[in-house]
Amino acid sequence: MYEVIETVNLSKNFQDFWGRTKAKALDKLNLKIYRGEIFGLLGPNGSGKTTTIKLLLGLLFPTSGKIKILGSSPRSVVCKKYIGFLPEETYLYPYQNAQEALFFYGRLFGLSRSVCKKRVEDLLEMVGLNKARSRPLKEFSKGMARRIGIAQALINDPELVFLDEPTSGLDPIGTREIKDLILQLKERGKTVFLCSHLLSDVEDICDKIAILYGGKIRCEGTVEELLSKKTATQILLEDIPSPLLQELILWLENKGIKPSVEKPRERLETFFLNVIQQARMQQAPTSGATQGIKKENFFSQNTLAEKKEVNPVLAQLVQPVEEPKEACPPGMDQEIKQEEQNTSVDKILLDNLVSKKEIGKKISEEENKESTIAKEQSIKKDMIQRLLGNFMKKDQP
Amino acid sequence: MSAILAIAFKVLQEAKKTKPALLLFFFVIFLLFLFPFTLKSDGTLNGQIQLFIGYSLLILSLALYSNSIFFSVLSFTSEIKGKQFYLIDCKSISRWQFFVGKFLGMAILNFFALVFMGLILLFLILYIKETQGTAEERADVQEKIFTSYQGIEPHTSMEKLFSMVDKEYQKRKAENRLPSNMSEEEIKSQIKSQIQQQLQVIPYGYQRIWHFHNLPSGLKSSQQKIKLRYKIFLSDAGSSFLCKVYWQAGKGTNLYAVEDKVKAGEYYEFTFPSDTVEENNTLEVHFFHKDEKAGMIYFPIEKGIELFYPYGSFYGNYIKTLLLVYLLSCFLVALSLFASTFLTFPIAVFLGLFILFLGLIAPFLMEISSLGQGIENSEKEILWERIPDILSYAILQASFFIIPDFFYYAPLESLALGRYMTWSIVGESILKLILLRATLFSILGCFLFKHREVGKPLL
Repeated sequence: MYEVIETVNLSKNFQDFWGRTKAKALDKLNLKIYRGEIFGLLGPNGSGKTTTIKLLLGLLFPTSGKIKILGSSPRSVVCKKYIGFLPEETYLYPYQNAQEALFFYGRLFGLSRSVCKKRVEDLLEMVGLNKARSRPLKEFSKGMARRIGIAQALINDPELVFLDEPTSGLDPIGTREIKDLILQLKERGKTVFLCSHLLSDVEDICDKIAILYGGKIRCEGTVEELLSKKTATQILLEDIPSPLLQELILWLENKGIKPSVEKPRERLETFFLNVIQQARMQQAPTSGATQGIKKENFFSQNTLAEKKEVNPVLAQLVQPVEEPKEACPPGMDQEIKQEEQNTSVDKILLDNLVSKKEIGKKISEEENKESTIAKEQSIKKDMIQRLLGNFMKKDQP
Repeated sequence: MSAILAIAFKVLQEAKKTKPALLLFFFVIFLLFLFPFTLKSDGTLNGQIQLFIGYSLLILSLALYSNSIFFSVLSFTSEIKGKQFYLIDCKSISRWQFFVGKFLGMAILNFFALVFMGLILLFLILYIKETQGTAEERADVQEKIFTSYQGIEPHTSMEKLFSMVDKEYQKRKAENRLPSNMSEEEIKSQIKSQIQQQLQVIPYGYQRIWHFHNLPSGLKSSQQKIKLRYKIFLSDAGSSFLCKVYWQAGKGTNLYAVEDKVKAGEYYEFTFPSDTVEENNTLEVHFFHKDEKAGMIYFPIEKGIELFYPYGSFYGNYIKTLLLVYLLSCFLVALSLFASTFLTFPIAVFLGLFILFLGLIAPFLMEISSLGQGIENSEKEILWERIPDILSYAILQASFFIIPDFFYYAPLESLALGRYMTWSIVGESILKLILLRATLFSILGCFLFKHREVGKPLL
């Protein structure tokens, strides 16, 4: 495991013209982020998150301490070739359109015209702005601008991605897509450095988190380590009849365990996505961003193995954690491949791509699946009832 | 290179959308079309065209200079203020490449703007020439403006001059009239300028002969016209007095004589045939003082008398003039970008415009400043007493290095007057404005920008 980001006693003070310290933004920050990790940096406003990112990108210079990004200085041009950055607000040129903006950023990385053009196409499709490609960016909503921001951060197929509040301004579908995208980046062995206020976003996707306050790390570790309640156990049951539930509670209380019983709620995010999915099935018109699709198009261009061939610097700096999953394993058609790869939300999104004929076919498949699930559920219910029955019997005097 | 070109291309994209720059551009074009109908000269076609060329070129160059300053600074500082530079700085592009990209973009922009406006101006000049005035006037324009002339000053025999200086020095020494606080070199230099001035003075009833050497070999047989341009000052008469002047060009059988009445302090010209030139490519010009009321006649040492012979075409001169304007605009771009690396938009623009203003009045500034005089003529012998003089001299020298004389590097009047512009002035501009000044400002700008914390919040 190689450190992609390393800071040692990193401090940053902001001074006035006369050199007097006006604000201490960071105080001896020590970070080690390894390749393939999704690292979340949390903290309230003014805690030093953005300053940390700016220091890691060379936009600010440290007052003291050291920074190493991919084994070199954050100001190294070679190192920046493998970095993607999405700032807190998407600072775009209002007079450019989406296509021009992405092409411009691609050219800054020295990509050839043909490669740049191909990537722009794929990224526009991926972030769902294919139809808005020729619209000036000044006409974009915050969410659409965010999507372009994300696309520009990925134009060089980076190894390390800095995302500052990536989901701010995005609708729940966009948020879900970005989360999926970040997870896909991880699958491809990329490292993601994420700053966010939205704790649920961080909780959903990060491997490691650190909480920053007053320029100091207050706590750091894996999400599992930090968030799991070691003194409690949660059992999730399918819906069971009320008398049976009462019996179960009674049995547990007799055992000296006081359970907390409540009906689980569907997450608002899932509910919202289902509603929108239904609207899309009805082909309701929209002039905004459409759903992002075909992430594979972009990601399959440069597998890590391919990249290493043309990237000796990176090959020396980092080593692959694991071989990335193939976007399109041979012998599988596109539909099956996507079903395998995508999360449940991606499945919903994928449905939109399927032609009307195929929808009919899919519905019948879904019905079959549903009947199978219903059967499985009834078997599970029986088993639970039998188990509970056994417990009851044993508890009887 | 693709990164530099991408930045340069974006400057062009930005320019298309920047309304003040576009407005200025269209305003200049509007003025160019308006001038032929509004400018009123002395009534001759020649005067009309000279006036149109002079004003149009001035407006065109000033617009280009101010736009270079305004847009360079805007393009650079807005990236930092609007934080778009964050996205650029985290890409694999060095800050010097960003600077060079901006410079290149501005240079391309200025080039196209100048070519476009230059073509419009040329079209209008030709339109006026072909559609207005009589055939005779058009021929006059062809001869005076559409033919460019190379200037030459009279030959001075330095040997003769130095022997006169020596003689005068020895005479003063023998008479014990040498000042004690001056060195021999300083005294001789003073005597030399006194003799030069004396040689330019012609009392009533006397004549003065000038010799022009090294004229082109084919000039005599070319059957073209040669011009003599002169200016006089009078000792006893006022500025409104018309002094009779008698000129004679040539020698032997090929003589050409002219009689005229001229005012003091104004330039006058007369033309004569090229066959007055002698076989050895020299020309002798006589001036006779026959106006008793004028007192003594004095020809200024600098540009008091100049001979012009046909050399090159108007179009060649026109291209060179535009090229010189373009080089100056590139210098201003480098200066403005340099200022943008450490100053905010309004201050950097102000600095650029201030330097442009000083550059335009540089000859006047040089004249009124005691450049070098403080040191050369100082009577203070103790070093520490001379320190303020030395310091002010150094500051003035540094200032005049930063602020070039705009009319020296882009002599706009030369085109209207049909003066030939040598390639050496273009070369000098490339060397002194671009390779020396602009490069120095660019290196300094890149250095400052490299060490600037662009992500610093304003406290």
